[in-house]
Amino acid sequence: MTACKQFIAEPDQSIITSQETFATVKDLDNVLWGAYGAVASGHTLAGNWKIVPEVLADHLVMNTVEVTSDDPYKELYDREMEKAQYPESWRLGYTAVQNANHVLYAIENGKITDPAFTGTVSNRFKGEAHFIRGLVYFELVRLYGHQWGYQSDIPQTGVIIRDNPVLNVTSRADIPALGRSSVAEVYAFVIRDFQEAERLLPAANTRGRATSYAAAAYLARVYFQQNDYAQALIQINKVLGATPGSIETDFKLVRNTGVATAANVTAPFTASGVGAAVVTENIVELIGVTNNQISQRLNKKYRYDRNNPPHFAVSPAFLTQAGFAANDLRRTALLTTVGSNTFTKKYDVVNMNIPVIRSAELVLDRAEINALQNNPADAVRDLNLIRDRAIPNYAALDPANPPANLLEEVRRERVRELAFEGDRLHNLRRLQRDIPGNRGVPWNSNRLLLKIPDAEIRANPAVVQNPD
Amino acid sequence: MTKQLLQGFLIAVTCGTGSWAQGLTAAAGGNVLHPIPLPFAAEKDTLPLGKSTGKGLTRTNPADTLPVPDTVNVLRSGLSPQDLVPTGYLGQRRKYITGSIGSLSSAAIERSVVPNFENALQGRIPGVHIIQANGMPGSDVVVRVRGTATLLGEAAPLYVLDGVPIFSGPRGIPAPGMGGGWGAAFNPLSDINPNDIASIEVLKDAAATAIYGARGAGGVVLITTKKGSPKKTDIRLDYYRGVTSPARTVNSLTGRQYLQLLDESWVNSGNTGTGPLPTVNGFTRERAEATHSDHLNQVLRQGMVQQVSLSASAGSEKTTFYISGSYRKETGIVTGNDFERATGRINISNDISEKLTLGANVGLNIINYTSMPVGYGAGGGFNAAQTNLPVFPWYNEDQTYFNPYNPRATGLPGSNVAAYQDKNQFDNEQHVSRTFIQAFAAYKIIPGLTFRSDAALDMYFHSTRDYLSKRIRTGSLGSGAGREGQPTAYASFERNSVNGYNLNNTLTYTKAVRNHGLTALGGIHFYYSENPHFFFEGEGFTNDFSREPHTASYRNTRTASSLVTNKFAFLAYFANANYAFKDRYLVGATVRTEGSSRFGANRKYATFPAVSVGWVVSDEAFLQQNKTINFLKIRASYGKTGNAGMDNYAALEQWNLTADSRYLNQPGVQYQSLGNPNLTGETQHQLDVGLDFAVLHNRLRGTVDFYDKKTRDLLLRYATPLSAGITDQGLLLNAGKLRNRGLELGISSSNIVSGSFQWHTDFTVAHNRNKVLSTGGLAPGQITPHGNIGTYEGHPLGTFYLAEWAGVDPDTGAELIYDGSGNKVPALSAAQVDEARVPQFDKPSAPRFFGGLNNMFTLKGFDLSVLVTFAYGNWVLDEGERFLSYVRGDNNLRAEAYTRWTADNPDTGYPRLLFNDPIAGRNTTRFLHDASYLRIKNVTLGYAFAKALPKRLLLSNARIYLTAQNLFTFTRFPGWDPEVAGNPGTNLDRSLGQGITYLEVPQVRTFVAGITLSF
Repeated sequence: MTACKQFIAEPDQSIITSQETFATVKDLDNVLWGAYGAVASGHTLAGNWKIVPEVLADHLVMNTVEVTSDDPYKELYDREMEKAQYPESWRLGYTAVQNANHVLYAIENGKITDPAFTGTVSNRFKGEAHFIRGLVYFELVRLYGHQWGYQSDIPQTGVIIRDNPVLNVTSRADIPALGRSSVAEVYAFVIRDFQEAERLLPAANTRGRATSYAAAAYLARVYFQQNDYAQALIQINKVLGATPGSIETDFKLVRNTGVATAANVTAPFTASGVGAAVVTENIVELIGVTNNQISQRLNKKYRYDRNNPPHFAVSPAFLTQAGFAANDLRRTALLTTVGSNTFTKKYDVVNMNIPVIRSAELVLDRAEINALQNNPADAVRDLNLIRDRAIPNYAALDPANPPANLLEEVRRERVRELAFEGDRLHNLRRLQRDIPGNRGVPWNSNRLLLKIPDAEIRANPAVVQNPD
Repeated sequence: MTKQLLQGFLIAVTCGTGSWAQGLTAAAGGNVLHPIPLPFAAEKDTLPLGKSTGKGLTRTNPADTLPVPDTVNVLRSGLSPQDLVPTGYLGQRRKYITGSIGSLSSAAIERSVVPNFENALQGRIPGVHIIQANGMPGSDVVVRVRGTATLLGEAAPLYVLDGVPIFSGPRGIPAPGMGGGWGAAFNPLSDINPNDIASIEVLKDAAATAIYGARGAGGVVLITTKKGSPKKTDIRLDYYRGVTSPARTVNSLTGRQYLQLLDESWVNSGNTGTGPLPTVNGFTRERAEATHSDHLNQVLRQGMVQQVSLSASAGSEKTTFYISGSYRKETGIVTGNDFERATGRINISNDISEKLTLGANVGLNIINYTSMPVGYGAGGGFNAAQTNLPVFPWYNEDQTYFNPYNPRATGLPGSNVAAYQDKNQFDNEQHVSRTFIQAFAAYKIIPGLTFRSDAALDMYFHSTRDYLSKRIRTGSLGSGAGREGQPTAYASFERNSVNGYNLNNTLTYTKAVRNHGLTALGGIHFYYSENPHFFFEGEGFTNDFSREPHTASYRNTRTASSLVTNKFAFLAYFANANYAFKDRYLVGATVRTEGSSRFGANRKYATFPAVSVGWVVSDEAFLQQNKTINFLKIRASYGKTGNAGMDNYAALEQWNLTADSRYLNQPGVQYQSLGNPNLTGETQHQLDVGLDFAVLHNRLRGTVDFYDKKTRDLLLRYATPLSAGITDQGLLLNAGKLRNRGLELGISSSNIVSGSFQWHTDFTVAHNRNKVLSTGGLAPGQITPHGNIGTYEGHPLGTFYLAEWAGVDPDTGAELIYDGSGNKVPALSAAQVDEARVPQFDKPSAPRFFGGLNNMFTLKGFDLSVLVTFAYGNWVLDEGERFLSYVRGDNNLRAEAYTRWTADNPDTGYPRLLFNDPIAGRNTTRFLHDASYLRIKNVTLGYAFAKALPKRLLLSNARIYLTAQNLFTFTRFPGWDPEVAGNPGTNLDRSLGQGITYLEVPQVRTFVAGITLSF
């Protein structure tokens, strides 16, 4: 009878209950892996979160239309935002947040009694949790809310901030029906998370997981998005070192000594797996391995294949804006023209690692800040750093004699360097520049905002939808 | 205890003065049984055969003046089921039963020549609603006892075979893979040979079902198999064979008609020229005009059914056994849908000593089954036969299969019906087996006190293989370059197993002293079930011969739930007592405390009590002399039962690995679903008041029941915000309430019994009214994901939520609907039709009345029976009709479309056709039909040779018979069949969507001829 009673009382091994998630260090680690998994998904940072800002901007044109159940990219392209909902991306983002909250809750409430759970491990776990949470909220607030500075203090303009895990639910009230915080509140939360992450994380971690540099670099991105140049510069210099025109830390641009080769510019986009040589310029990257590929969504969107044409081609407007030099490797090695269409080759490898923040981005940030803050010489130095790698036999500009249109050149260099990496929309909005072209809309148009998924609003009436 | 169930037996007691009593009369042939109460009852369960003293006989009716005989000659022995009815863990004499129990005897089951035993119950037991889901062999049967009493729980009854709960479906894990869910739902009970069944009892009220506690709320079906009897050898051989055809056919347009309507709709929509045909390589308008493919004709065929069964039962005084074997083969009316069943059974019982009896019941059943796509599934089966363009050929000019695939679309399965009939292109192969092993021991401790232990194993396997050649499908997304969207073969293998382990220990005590009679029972029941599930799929094979998923060049390594164990357990303690005072004042009480692994940690155990009273009024002095009323019993019961038919882990917070949680091959986990430690099964409180009577020399017998049952703690699913980050957004709470209230009537009448001509009538009818009392604060649309069904407080489950159709505007041909203010307006957009939706309270999906009428005539050796079943007042939404009513350019239309509105044909009920009509995807009441029907379910004509048989043939009886099933159906329903069960995948669909049909195979009309030989 006692044996029989056990069958009634105890869950069997078919499932993992919440209790099982903080039994040991390894269990909690798996919750963290689950958070990384949620972020490194085609629905999130290894896909939609990089794709949506490009589709809503001006660098892509539609190549093929395919019926895809969870990806209304045609509607997105047409700015039918009501139809272009990405509920799974939203949900997975919050799944990462849930896992991060779960880890923080377990640590702060002493749930882990495993002796292997030392202070070092604890700090690392907490740091990773803060990093992931900050990352998700930052990416979400950029997609669902307006640019920082535009109506940022109005409630219900940002995203929902959940900082407690959902656990031990017995009634509906146990999952608070929270409304959206303001954009400003979300930014404040994100900055706190990244600051905590930077403080707690080690400088080196298992490949594919967060480091203090990753947190610092992301924080730089946040400040730069806010046009907070002073803070951004501090963060950038932490990651790259304080000397413009060079990278003093390990995050050097890939370069085959002396000669510029195509492999240099393609390097960030060809690596796959943890075994591959580390691409030094990738400060934050998502790793794809053979049995755990993450690049399918991006491949499907951009990768040219005769039998399976990609969804998007490069817009003529992009080519005009970029105005590549004929020998620019980013033109010759990272673009391909088939018939009348041009396609990017940044996602040309089936099963690849996805770069999230490359040091080139921070270099360009710094160049722009210096150009704006009347340090043209430093701006030129950083500009040379980028161009020198990409353009063979590049005749470096003289820092003492900066061009008159330096700021414009730096911004154009950004277009050339960061194209199709999910930067375009955010950059236009940061600069408060309208989206140009025949699909053009003002930078603060509501049609640049993803709609909060209907399912969220149905279940959570406290949430206010983005206006049309 | 063990011998009471010898159904179909004659009890003939003769005494010195001649034969004057028999328990059952038999029509010529010995197959048709009609009970007449015995004037005497034996104290012992059975009387020995042959001559013995009359000691131990008591008068059934104490008022009888017949002298108890000194000696009796027992010709055949055994208590008939009319005397001792299985009631759950024991048997009780019908007179003393205070619960509501319906029975069906083996004779009735055998005569009905049905593919599964559930079908034999149709129209035979009041309040038990049986729907054969469709006409495919092996397809599901929906059984509802006293209405649908749950939303998210299991609404079907508990099936108990010889005292052991058995797996009866539905499957715990939805069928995965490309072909998963294409065919009709399979009936896991179709493996049981109806000829092995001695009797079926359906326990309906709380007094009867409380002994099954947490699993009793949906009613309990007790299946008792045949057993041997001492000193009597029976060998029976039964064979029948017949043909099947669709009970009705609804044709689609021919190629010429289609092109005409396509062009017409194209012009009606403001275009010029001819309508567009799908863009397919090598397919031209010219080709279309030359093609007339009758896909339905290609798919439908004359089906065949045959069955042979052989059984032998025999016994010595100490040992009895029953052995049987059967083989059944059916070819369905849809080509490619075949069913083959082999069954074997051995029931054996041995009295080791006066006190100890040991026995075993063993059944081994095997089914080989192939299915074809129907309903909402994709592929080229019965569904595609209706929807495919009649201008699509089956073959290209080079005789390869025509496959209009779109290389941009990945994972498309194709729909060429001719290709799907070719086993080289599409092969669905299913194997089902059930091994049922039960061993028991009964020990008589002291007179009246018996201990019994039952151990049983119910092992059920269902494996499915699917193969789709590259000529009918394109590779799925992620399958790699050269396969994605390109012709790529696919194969999958699934094995779904259910192993049920059962242990019952009971102690029974019976004692009769003067005016007091007591039967008491106490016991423990433990049930453990595991559901190991294995699934594997692959695509891209080196050649057509190689079909093993593991040889595929692309294997989806992230297939969800490819291997899970999925377990549940029940542990119950129960007691039951029935007390009779003066043989006519009856009291019963039951209590069962049951725990389930499915329940939340805070509510692991629940208790289910029931009480009942009965009064045999006819035994009172004032009625004893009454010549008209021979028997009258009033009974009432009230009690509580449970429904634990929920997901095994619904109460537990679950984390899981998903495609999006794994990173760097690490076992990352994410929160998959919410749990709730307070979650428990639904409880049902039922009141039953009933009357059993026999009047006019017992020739008119009947039973009437009124019941009122309330489901409390009704499971409801609350949507949780996506931002909680949980994969499945649903929180289960025991929060709702609903009620079923109804009236049941069952009448058996022996209209003519004297002489060689006999006429008996059985009639059942039931009325059930379902009402949702509380939806726990959820809005109608939040309960069901199905947009056409709403759940409203104060109204029945499954209320259609549809715009009211207002016919056709004779001036313009426009399709009209009623808008919010009741005005007729043209339906111009999907949004407008959605806006105009209203709940259709006057058109319920469950019948107001249902039942059956069976008439049986016998004359000399001839017997003729006619069974009519009916359902009245239910409505069916024909989504298939909706799909086949609009021109989209890639689907055919029903032939009725030819009567559409044109300027020359303004007075029609069929609107003007538009190309890509914006309302094409929307259901309105245009497709909601009264599905009341009256069906001549079974007509059987037989002739028995009993008296004409020469002795040397060793035959004791021979009967030949002709049976016609579904001979004719009277209905106003315009679709394929008014008897539908939907093709549901979840409990919620089963509870709400029973009135929705979509391209399903109709019931079959069957003609069989058979012969039964008894030795």
